[in-house]
Amino acid sequence: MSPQSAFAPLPAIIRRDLLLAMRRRGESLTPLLFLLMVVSLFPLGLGPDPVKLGASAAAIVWVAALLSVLLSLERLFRSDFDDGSLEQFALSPCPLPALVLSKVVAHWLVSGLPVVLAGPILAMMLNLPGHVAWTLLHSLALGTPILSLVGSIGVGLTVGLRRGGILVSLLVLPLYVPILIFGAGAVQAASGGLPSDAHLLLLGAQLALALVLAPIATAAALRISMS
Amino acid sequence: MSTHLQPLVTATDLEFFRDDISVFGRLSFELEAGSMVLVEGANGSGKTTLLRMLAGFIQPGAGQMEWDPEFEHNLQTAYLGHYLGIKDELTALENLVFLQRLAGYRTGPDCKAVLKDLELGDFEDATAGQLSAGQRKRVALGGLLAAPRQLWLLDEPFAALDRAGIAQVERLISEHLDNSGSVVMSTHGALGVHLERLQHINLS
Repeated sequence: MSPQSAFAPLPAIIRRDLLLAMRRRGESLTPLLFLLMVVSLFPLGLGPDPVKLGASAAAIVWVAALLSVLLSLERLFRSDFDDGSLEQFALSPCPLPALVLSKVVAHWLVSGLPVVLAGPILAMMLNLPGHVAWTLLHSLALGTPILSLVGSIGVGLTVGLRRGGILVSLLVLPLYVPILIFGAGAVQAASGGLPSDAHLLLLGAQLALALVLAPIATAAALRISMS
Repeated sequence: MSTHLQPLVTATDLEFFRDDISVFGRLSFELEAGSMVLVEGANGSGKTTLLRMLAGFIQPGAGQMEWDPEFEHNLQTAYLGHYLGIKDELTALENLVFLQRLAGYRTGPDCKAVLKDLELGDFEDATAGQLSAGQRKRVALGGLLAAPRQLWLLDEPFAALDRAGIAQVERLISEHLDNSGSVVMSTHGALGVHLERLQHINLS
């Protein structure tokens, strides 16, 4: 009997990626700093009128969150592709989609989670009412993992190209549209005093779908990029 | 590891095309447990391609590879290419432990002992980015010892190594063959050790 286990690699990858994120602190903080910068620029452009700001706060935060995740996507597989780690992944006893999923989980913990936590606070600075900020937190918590999962497909396809950066955005942005619509829609509904459950449930459904399908698609894309 | 009567892999008329031009053609060989195939050839003759094909990263353009049904390819294959698969920001020890887990080993040979064996004992806490090219290569070679697997696919394992390092790799290979492991290796240079069960494939 072989002492090897197909599941030993999963926690090891998450641990390694978090450790790497800690060692590359500057790079890891980029999404959060980007969110902070974009959100703080809007009052300068829109004017300091609290009513106007409060009305667009959720949309501002959602668009900024989406772009900041997009900005960090390239990091997901780039260094693993360049230094040959991906070849080692492909030979692991663990199925590649499962390895991809743990890479995405680690990526979300580093670049998605801070956005989820900081987003509502920034929105309240833009005069978003407290109870609506709560809905924003929910929508971001459901939405940002989808951004990472769907984004991983685009990165998987383009990681073999030298200048994949802009191509990833072109591939992935159309797929981000439904996430943005339902994410920002949930907050819009809440601020209008309407229930936001439907939007959040649809986001949840998208998350479930992406959790199952995206790692498989990404693994296939990576195999193509590798050959 | 067990010895089979059937060869680990039987390649028949393997061929690979790049832009419809044959890179190497009509290659047939058998690899048995405890034996080694040395792939020789000029730059661009397809040595790396052949190894990547055996690793399963690319499909042959024509011909077939028949694996021993008892050989678990994804558990028992180790590939060491030009890109070593180690992270500059992690220490030599962290890299090695990760390679061991990635190969599915929750426990296994002691990684510190492996580093000591490869004369990297003093560098276990140095990040790989601080190591020299040869030392990084040794860390990657340590992955072969930290996570034992039956088939080693080694692409130019001597590149960047000093004389002592080359001797060490030769020792690792002959120990691996003695344990009925198999090796497919590409190289420019001659092999310093004399091995009984050695096949040459010349691609040029």
